[in-house]
Amino acid sequence: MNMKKLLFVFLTLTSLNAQPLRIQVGSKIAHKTKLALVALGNSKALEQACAVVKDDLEFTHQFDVEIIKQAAVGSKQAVKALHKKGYTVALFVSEKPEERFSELRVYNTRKAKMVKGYKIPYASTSTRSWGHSLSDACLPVLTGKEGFFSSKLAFCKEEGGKKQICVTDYNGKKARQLVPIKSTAVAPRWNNDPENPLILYSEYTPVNVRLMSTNLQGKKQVAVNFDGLNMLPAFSEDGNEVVMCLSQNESTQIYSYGYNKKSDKPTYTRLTHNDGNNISPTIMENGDVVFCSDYQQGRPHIYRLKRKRGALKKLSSGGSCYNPAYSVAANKVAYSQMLEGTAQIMVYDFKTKQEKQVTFGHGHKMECSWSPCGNYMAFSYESGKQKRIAVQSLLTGKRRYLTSVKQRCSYPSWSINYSRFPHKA
Amino acid sequence: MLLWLRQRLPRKNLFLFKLSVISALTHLVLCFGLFFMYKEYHHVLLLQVHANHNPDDVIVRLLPISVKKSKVNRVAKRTVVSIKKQPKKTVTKKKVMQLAQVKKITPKPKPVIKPKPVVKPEQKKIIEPKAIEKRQVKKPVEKTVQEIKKVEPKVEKIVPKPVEKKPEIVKEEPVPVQEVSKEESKPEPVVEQVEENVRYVTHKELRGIDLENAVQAAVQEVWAPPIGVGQEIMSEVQVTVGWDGKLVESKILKLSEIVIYDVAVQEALEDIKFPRQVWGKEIKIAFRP
Repeated sequence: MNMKKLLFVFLTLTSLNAQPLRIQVGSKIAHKTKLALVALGNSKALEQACAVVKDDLEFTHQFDVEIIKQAAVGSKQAVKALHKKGYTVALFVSEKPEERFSELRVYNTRKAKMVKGYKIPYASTSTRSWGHSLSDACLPVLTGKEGFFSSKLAFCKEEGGKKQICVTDYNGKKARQLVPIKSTAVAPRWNNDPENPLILYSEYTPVNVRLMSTNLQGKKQVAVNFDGLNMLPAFSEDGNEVVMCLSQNESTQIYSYGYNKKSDKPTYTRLTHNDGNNISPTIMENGDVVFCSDYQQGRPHIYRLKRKRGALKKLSSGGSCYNPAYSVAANKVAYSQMLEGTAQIMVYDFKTKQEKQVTFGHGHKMECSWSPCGNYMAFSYESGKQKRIAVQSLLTGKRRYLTSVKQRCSYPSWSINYSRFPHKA
Repeated sequence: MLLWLRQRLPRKNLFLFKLSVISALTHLVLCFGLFFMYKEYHHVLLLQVHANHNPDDVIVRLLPISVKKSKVNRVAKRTVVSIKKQPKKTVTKKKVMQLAQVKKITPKPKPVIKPKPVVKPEQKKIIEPKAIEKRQVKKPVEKTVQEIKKVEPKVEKIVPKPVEKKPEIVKEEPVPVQEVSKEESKPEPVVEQVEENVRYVTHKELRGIDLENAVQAAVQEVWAPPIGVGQEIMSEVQVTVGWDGKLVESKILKLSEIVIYDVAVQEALEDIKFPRQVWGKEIKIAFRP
């Protein structure tokens, strides 16, 4: 008996000691997720909104979406039947016009279980706006990334030897010329104000290049009108601070814009003090300015101005670099760099302090602009006579051209993601 | 105590007492043996498989059972340290052959031409021929050094005169040896690059790596994560594998909170045919994109 007890004690001790094996596995093949977008109802507005959601989700290159019409969600078996058809996830969208909101439910079709549900304000005036807000709501649940579908792109379009400012949805749809300009207008920038979106651009005049501003209805006014160049304003994320390039005495310097309440006049504080040309500023969340300058080596490179210390730090290395653009969401700065005679887009990560090439192949890629979520970037692609606006995903590495081959477009600028989509534009 | 027992107990009972004591001791020993065997078995299973680990990139080398056995090798390694300053490097067979070929060919023309640099290495060999010879003969492991030195004795016999002319220089032992190492140092950087990817493992670790690869291969057949999810995302599942290699029970330990990712993990789990090594066991699988 004693021996048996002893054996029992040993065996229990050893079994307690036993731990399950822990294994990490990875995969080399990734695939698009098949998604069923179920419209619960027969209204035309709902149908159009679902079409917008389908376009939005497919823009990410992560989903294959199919729209299905149903009267109601149905039984568990009906949901599981979707899984048998190959849809791993289902989105059920319904509208309640009398209550002024729509409902969005995300289902795991294998288990026929609802993962998350939302109530989204119903906007019958614009199904585009409604669809984008539905997409913005479901993307974080599906992919863990923030939505960017209620954002807009501004860019320059060449027509008859002149450059005009145009505005489009983030995906290149519904593009239109914003203001009729007799001369040439370049380098549009958004003001990052979610309530009152404005675009600032530089307009060529016989005496200078002045900075203009316009709202999305095309109402324009002069913003800054000094001698020389007045261009490339950059707004902080909250839209409260502005820096811009102003040229004086044969060099271009970066200035911070302010407003003196006492004198009721704008003030400009010079930030850079060197003999070179300092252009394309962009503001970081801590107020530091990243810009392009040729003061040190005679050819342009990317620098970071630490406002508190007043110190300059060179970020780029190698060939000439242009057009830096900072993303608060990604904490990265993207810029164009000449590599073997071709301009490619590089990304400098402030976390790892390393730069990485993002674009490859022939054709110049310049003037990049980040999406509000920091996962996509728009840039102008120039190859031969072509000059197009392209959007590249940093998640999948896939590129999509927003403008046609016949159009000559440049200077894309991506707005913030608007909670109230400015659908008039 | 036994004496006391002999006096008190009858013979039969004494025999039974002895038998019980012996059987108890045998049981104890057996139990200890089983305990350590069981512990050993589970110790191997606790190894982790990394998602980004590419078995093609890393050369796995099994360490010898006990390093202490080869005292001669230790001496050989020390000699190598003094010559090459690279104590732990091993060279691939091809490179050893290349080195060997170079040294076999070069000494032959030397006595005919009699150039100065050729004379120097010969002098070294004359200074301490016996000691070097002994070391060379004893080295079976370090091929690079062995093969280099095996060539040297032949040259000693051919060139006797120059030694008499310059006997003082001969005393400077380390200098000529370094010259030899400089000649050899040309292919060394290549060797270093190769050695970076070498992973030395014990028998336990090797078994663990085999298991990792087996599970990785089984999972990879069915695991297709959604495109565009971040590399930092992970979903961890505890799985009970049946004796037929199929999933018996699964318990999600950590969700990625990304619907498309978690759904893909669940789909993969139900289709996996687990390798024989994990049949009837409980394992944790961390799914990474």
